Amino acid sequence: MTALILEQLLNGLQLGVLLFLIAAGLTLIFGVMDFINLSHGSLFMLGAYFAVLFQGLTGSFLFAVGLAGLAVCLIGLLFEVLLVRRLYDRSHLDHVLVTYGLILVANESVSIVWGASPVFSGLPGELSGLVALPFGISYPLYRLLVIAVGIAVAALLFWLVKETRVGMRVRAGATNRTIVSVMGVNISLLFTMVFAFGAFLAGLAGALAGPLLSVQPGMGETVLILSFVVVVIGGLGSIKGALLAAVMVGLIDTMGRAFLRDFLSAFFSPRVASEAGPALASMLVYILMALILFFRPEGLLPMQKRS
Amino acid sequence: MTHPALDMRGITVRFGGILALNEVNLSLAPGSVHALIGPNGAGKTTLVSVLSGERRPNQGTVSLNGRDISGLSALRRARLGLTRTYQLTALFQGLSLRENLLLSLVARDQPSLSALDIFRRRDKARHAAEVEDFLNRFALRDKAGEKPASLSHGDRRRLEIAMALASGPEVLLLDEPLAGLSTSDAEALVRTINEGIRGRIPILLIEHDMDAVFQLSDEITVMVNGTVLANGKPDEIRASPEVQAAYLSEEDDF
Amino acid sequence: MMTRDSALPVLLILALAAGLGPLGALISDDPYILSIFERFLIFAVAASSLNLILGYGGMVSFGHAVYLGIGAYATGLLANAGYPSLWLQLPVVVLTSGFAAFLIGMIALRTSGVHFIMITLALAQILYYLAQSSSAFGGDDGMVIYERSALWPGYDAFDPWQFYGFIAVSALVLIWLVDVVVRSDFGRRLVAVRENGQRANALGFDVMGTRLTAFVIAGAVCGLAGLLLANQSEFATPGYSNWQRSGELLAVVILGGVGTRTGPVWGALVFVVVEHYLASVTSHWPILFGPLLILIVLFFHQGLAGLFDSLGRRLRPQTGGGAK
Repeated sequence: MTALILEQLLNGLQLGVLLFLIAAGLTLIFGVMDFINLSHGSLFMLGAYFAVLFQGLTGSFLFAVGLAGLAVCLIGLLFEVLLVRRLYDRSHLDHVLVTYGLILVANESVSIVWGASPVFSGLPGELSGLVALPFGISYPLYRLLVIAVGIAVAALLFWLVKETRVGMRVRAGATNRTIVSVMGVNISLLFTMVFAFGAFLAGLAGALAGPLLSVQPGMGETVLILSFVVVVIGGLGSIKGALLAAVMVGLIDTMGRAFLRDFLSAFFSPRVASEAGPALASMLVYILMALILFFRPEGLLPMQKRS
Repeated sequence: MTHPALDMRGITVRFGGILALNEVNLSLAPGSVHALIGPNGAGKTTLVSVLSGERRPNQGTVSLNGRDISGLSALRRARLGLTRTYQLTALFQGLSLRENLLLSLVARDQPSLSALDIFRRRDKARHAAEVEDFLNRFALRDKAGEKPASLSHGDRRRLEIAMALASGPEVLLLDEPLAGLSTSDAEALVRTINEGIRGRIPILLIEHDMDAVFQLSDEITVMVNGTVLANGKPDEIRASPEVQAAYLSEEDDF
Repeated sequence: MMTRDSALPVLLILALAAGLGPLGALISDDPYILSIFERFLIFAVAASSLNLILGYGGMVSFGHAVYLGIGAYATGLLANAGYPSLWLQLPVVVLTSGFAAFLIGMIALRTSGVHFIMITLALAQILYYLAQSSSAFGGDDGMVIYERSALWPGYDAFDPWQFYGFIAVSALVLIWLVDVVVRSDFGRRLVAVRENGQRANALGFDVMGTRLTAFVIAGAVCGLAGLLLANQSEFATPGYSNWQRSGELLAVVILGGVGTRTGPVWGALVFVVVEHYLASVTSHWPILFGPLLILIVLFFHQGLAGLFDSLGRRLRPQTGGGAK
């Protein structure tokens, strides 16, 4: 039982790490540019498809993952320069509609090129084994790798934002936009960089998630909505909040799906438990969000004053 | 006896360790214009926000026409007729002048809605006539269809006061109504207040323009550093050496 | 908004649009045209309800389709349980969808801006997952509805013409109702709250109460659109309340013109016709609709109603500025 719980905890952490990679980009883009990007999930989906494509071309999985991240980064860059840039001074409603239009385009393009059914993303043999961990757990090596990469990228992100000059500008931009323009920073370049970097993170997450999820059109939206939940719970614009919320959401969602049914059957009849368990489990994070927002409408770690 | 229109007793507000208002007492007689003056940072704006219910004082009571309203929210106070104007004029930017005024009348006549009001429009003709009356009185007739953004500063101030008046106030709090107005606009507004409102509705006036204050007020309270320094008729205030030392001399600079 | 009081524009357009369908069906002798127009009318009702909160209330709800789902499932569950009477279904749908809107509003309206958009989206997903994972609702496959709503003895719900009449009259009444709300005292307050919440509060308007009331009315009306949709498709699926559907509703309102009284009707008409046409060209029609939507947002912000109004050189009742 302990082993099972620990294993699910690791699964939850792994989901949390993936969610963080996506949510970090979303929250940065919102914090710095005040832009809502619904198509962020589509970038995630493209990452997964590109990884499959590049793996077929190069034969190396890890190389393909990196390449997919870069390719999505490039697409994000083009998006920003060609389209998104025109929308910064428009209303949030306009952001929502345009990026909604982009999702339609992305999903249909993918299903035209790769078909509507899931594409198989094969793991190379050396990554698909199990690892023996303490407490008698044997855990998939690849999932551990995802957790490690996720944590490394998260650490890199925190370092970038905290310690570098660009990061300082990003933080300044997220707290107070006027200061940044006064500082004489090339705002438009900064915005493009932030957007492209967010796209890179989403693409990387998609490429990493490919072997764990089914790679198919529309896969980005489920993840997008979960990432919204993460961003909203964490507090819009806050990377720290996104990390905290991503791990919370990852753990609660995974634990709910794994154990809620058994937990309920301790109190209700098996029929009720097996009916209500899965339904409740899939709603758990949304209920969590509703509760948190009811008491803290700004999220757990809201950004400091913005103007 | 008649109650004061507005009565504040022992209002104290602390921001952290700083005493922003210290035991402030102020009483506004029915039908009078009472000015509140003092240098920047004296606590006038804080006092106004305590009055309107936007800020809770650490101590003290506020009553309106003899009724204790200390515990009421800003919304409830507004419904009782405690109406304020804002330093930064806060109008309904997307609506025309006419619609702005109309909303004030709706607020006056239908403070809370009945379920039926979701489907009907009451007092339509009467409100339309009254709006025209306000437009005429405040010389806004020509611009009735325009939106506040296209108005001059003076016009906007007049609209602000017209709206406050249209909402049927028991007490009017005017927060620096003359700030930023040209001399002629300021004079016109003083005239409007003198002829149109004075005597009918008690006014608490916060204003830096000393000419206007002495011209308009029946009574003046001087605040410095969160306390009341002096209180009296305009002549007494003008003659008070304390006030001159603390305040008026400073104002001579401009 | 406050100057033109007559309900005529809405009714005229609707009568035209609702009359066009039967005419087309008669001329081409193809009753299928009727069902396209039924879809249009249902969409117009849902879009009108969204326009009430989006256009007049300034609340960008990205979860409005949830009420479509609630209305459809409530209708379907009742019908399949042997209660096809409209006079029972109607209050049940109004109460359930109104109550859901009340709950969602209580949480979402505490926030504003982007928070509000994301929260309405996420809360709507709850129902989507509930429907998807519940066997009583037919799960992912949805639920076939065996009985259309019964009005009175003699009414045949499966006769295309009688059924079209039911949909058309219901849509007329509901859209007229929303229009009445927009023009009421309440509608005035709603606009005041949209324009400047702090100021509205200082005037003595209850900001939260006003928003919540509009939110509940919009939810209930959209729930009734769900009732119509369940009847029309004889089916209820989780897809009715998923977020793509909410996005479509937003797109319809934008297309027609946000905060205009006739916008949602025009938007729905064009959307359904374009969808029908594009879908006949390619099964991948969203790849055409996506760019179309982007172009509309970028270059055609007034919407169709705005376009028609300026063509008619009339004053627009309301510019689409209440979105932010």
